[in-house]
Amino acid sequence: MSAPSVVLASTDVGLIRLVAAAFEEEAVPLQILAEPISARAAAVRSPLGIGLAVDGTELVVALSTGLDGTYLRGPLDDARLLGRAAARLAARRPLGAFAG
Amino acid sequence: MLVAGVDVGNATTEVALARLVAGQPPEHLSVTRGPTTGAKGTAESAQGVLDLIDRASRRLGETPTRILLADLHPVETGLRELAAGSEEDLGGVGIARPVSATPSGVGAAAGQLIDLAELVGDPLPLPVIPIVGLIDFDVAATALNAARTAGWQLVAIIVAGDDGVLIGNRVDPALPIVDEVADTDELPRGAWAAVEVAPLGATVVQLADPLRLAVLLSLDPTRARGARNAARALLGHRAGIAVRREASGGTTEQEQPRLATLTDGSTRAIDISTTPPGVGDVVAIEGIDANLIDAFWSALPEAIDDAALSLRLRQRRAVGLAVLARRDDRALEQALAESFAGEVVVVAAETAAAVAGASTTPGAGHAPIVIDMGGGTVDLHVQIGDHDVAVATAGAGLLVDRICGAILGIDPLRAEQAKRHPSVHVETPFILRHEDGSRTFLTSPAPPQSVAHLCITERQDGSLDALESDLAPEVWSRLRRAAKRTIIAGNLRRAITAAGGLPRGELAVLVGGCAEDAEIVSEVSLALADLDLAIARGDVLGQHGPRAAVAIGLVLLHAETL
Repeated sequence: MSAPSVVLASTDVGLIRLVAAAFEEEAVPLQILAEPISARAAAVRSPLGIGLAVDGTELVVALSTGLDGTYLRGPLDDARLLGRAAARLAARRPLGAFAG
Repeated sequence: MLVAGVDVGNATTEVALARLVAGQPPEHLSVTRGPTTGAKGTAESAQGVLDLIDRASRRLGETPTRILLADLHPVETGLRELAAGSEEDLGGVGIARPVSATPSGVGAAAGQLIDLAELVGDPLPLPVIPIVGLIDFDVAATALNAARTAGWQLVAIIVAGDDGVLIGNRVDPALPIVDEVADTDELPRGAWAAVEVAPLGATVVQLADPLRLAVLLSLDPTRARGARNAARALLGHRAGIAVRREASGGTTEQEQPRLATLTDGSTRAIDISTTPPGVGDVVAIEGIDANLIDAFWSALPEAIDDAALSLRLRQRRAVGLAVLARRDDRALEQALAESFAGEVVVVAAETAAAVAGASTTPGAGHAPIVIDMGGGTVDLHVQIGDHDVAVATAGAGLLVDRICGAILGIDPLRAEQAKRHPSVHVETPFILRHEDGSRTFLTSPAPPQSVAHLCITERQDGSLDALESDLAPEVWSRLRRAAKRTIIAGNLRRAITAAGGLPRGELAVLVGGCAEDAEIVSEVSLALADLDLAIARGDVLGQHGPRAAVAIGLVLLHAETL
């Protein structure tokens, strides 16, 4: 059985550091996949049903359920905040600044 | 003759159009409803009446020739938080209450505040609490570890950013670290301070105890008493910071409550620890220039089984006040007479009209007891044989709005929705937890801003209104019901006392906007259970529910005079 974690699909070291820091701060497990897949596909691979991936110039947080799956998106400069929102989503805490 | 029975309430105005022919029962044509414009009974409230009449007339294709009014007395409703204006002396102890959800470590420690950049050279011979500004967590952790290796005694850490756990994991996971401290620049470097982080799900213990706080801050015993306000201010928080400052007495300049003067000449403070007297017993209130009929006040409700929340609510010293004043200027009548082509007639008192309207409820016959629960007042009308009593009491739906708004930290308009509709906690984008603990699954995800928030349901567009309050739905539900019980049912009890009691076994019909609220109806039924009354919700003309009783009643009473 897979450990419960959120999946980030990326090979960008800088982006991974920011998102991983957000997850560590929130004490939520994060799994990195070095594959060019969408956030929705990453979410399907996540035991928690939450995935992150870059889409053009934006970072997308997606859910494995729902019609579209895209739940949050924002500029790459806000990767730490989006990572925090994704971690809090998994931890069922208020998402904070990136909740819209 | 086409007439418009008009009920101008403190919150809502209702217009009932009817055709009257002498010797025949009225032909009721329509009921139109809208928000009251301006204060009830003022010239400004005429605009709302005229707009509603215009709307109803266009629909009917005919304009009324006579406006029927009730004798009106307005209610002013407000809420004052006495603690908000108080100057609290923290007894020479500065405090900070970080809102961080993720501090690191557990425990309490005291030391000298020092900038991270100052942790160089020979270590000080005392414990220190470094302050980390907005810098990268790896850089901060490297500097902190170097300082420890050099012999600095780090007992706690204060961090400006959201990096507490990140730094803790790289330095010492057991060390108490508070993060997201917004005003780190204002913390006095060199001052003696204490930091506490409570375990998950708990709140600070040592900083919330004045004696332990005094020991941690090395205050002498005479200053421990002065630290009580600081300790109390930290109560209920997961993490806190206390800083020793110049000694002071710990006295508090509290805003004084208003004084109510009673009929016997005595005075009573309008405060959270006092109860309002009987109906009509208040003749004057400090700062209010009005000819009073009644005054009623209420504190925020107590949270049963939650001492910390109760204390938080009580510390605000919030008091909602409703004042019913006599209005003799006839401003609404005059304003309507100037703008309306037909006649304006004052038909009867509101309570008499409410009885006439409530009596059209199918099966009620003549309603002997009518309880009209509106926005501003709870009115009781008893008409049994020769016993004919009408009592109007200040404080109803609008006061409940004020109290609910104060609990949730929202404006009264939003509180009106929160009062009427059940709440949910959005556990995940797909799961809602309801007030009774049950859960439902959504087919499309709830919006991000609602996740992990208390939300009001049943908006017209079906969306959720996310509140900032951290109350659980079951707790909010209990507080909401308590407010309704205290204000509506409590006020009704005052009215019953003023009316000299009610006969057992009689029929009581509930009308007015509050009677649409099932929680209020059940609270009223519970409060009056000892009187063994048959309590029924009105259904005016068998089609308007408990609304429009006064407007329809005015039409009926006027028809009898033709």
